[in-house]
Amino acid sequence: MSAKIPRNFRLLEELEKGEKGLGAEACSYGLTDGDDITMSEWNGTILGPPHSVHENRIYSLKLHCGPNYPDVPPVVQFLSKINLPCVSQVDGKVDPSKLACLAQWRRDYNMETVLLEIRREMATGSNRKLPQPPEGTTY
Amino acid sequence: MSEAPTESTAAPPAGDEIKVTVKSSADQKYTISVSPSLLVSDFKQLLEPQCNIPKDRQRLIYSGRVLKDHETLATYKIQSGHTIHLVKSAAPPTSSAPSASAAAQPSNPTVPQNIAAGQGIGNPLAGLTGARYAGLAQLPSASLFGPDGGMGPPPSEEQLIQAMSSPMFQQSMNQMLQNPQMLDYIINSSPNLQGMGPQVRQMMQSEQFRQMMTNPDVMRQMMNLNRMFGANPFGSPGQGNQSFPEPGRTSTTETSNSGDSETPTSTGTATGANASPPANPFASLFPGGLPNAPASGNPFGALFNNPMLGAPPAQGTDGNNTGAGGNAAPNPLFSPEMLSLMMGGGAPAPEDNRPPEERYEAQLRQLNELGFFDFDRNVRALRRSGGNVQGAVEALLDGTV
Repeated sequence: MSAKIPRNFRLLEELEKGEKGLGAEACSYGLTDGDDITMSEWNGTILGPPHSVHENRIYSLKLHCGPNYPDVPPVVQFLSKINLPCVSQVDGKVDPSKLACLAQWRRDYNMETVLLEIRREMATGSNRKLPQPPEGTTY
Repeated sequence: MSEAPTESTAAPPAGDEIKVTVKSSADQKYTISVSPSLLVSDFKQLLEPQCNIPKDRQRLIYSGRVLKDHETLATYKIQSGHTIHLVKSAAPPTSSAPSASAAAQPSNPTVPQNIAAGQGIGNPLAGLTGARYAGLAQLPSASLFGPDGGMGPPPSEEQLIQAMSSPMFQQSMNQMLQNPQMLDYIINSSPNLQGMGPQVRQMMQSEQFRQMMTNPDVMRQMMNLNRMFGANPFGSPGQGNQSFPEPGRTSTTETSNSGDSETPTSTGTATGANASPPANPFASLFPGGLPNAPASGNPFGALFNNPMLGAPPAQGTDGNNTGAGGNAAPNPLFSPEMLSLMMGGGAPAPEDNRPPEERYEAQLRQLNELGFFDFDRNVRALRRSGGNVQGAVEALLDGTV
């Protein structure tokens, strides 16, 4: 059993990964405000998966890592409009109960896990064909 | 655009420069030394020769944000050793203008969300011809516009059915029918529907109807029925019929019905003089002399004219009746014309260059089922009738091919 990594260490690790582009290419994330010492507000982008209506689109999201992160999942909200079952059409919030990795959050998950899972969600059989609002519109 | 330090030698002191890595989606990496005060647009300019992506198609992402052209790299606090993701945007330069116009309209909530760029705003069907469907929907190709500028034949039924089976089409169709504005548009664009009064709207909004409209099997059956009952599958009454042989019209019809060449068979049945044997292409199938029935009308006619369309296709409830040569008015909703309208406003299928056995596969099968086995004659007849089985049957029976 390894020791629990404290929140800020985890987030610094994720920050570095995001800034240096060490993670998956399909998504990107970073602090909304680099001076935010609490490291709570994050921006994320998801590159639409190929062979879907999302192809070549870039979706912007907002992630909020509360004081208890990573014991609790981040709050994820789309800024770009998207038509996806797990995303509220009102404000773009991702419904945690409808996204497996949020519903069954584990401490070793991170923001990349979430972004990649949403991206996978976009590429699933029925979702990849959903009509989408024009690109560039926001909530 | 302000003048940025374009040459690296002219850039600010080396201490100020940062080394950023640009990762493109094709797994390529470029390392560039730049001044943080560089505008994003100028940075893209620098990238252009390296990545071979035109400046206006580059999209840069850093730390979860899309970099905006008019900002400087410093705005995003990009530091040495950091990585920027480069994504090539899909929109070719030609469509960038229309997409801008589409983006200018987002505040109108009544416009369907799938409305496509560059198509008339007033046409809610435009979404179906949008770039998203490239390669999926049948869009007109250059070869379509013949020497006379014609648009080619309307899509054949098979093509329609094929297109309708695509989940995208069904999805769009469902969405369209849920949109009141869309319904207005459909109703207004068809005089037949306008004539049917307010129930049309009700009907189109009903769940049942929607299911039917999006079920290719039901459509196929409807079309078969339509064809069997002699409705001209290539148009609603009184328009555009001339280029196709009118069903039920034969040499005899013409002679006895002289002076009324514009009128399709309905007149024939009304006058009662000439409708029977020649008008029924299936006569040969019923040696028992069934063809006396015609003037009594089509037993299934009511089914087609019933605005509620609630009854599912009754094909086969009475096999003997299928040949009776009544003349159901073509159902406006199920005429290919209407369908092609729904499928994106006058975007007929590309010209067909396939060999006849492939092109007329379905029709040939039908002719075979009807007892015409001579392949060459069948093809000739189908060619002459433009793929219309009934027309072909007449030609075959007439012995003109």
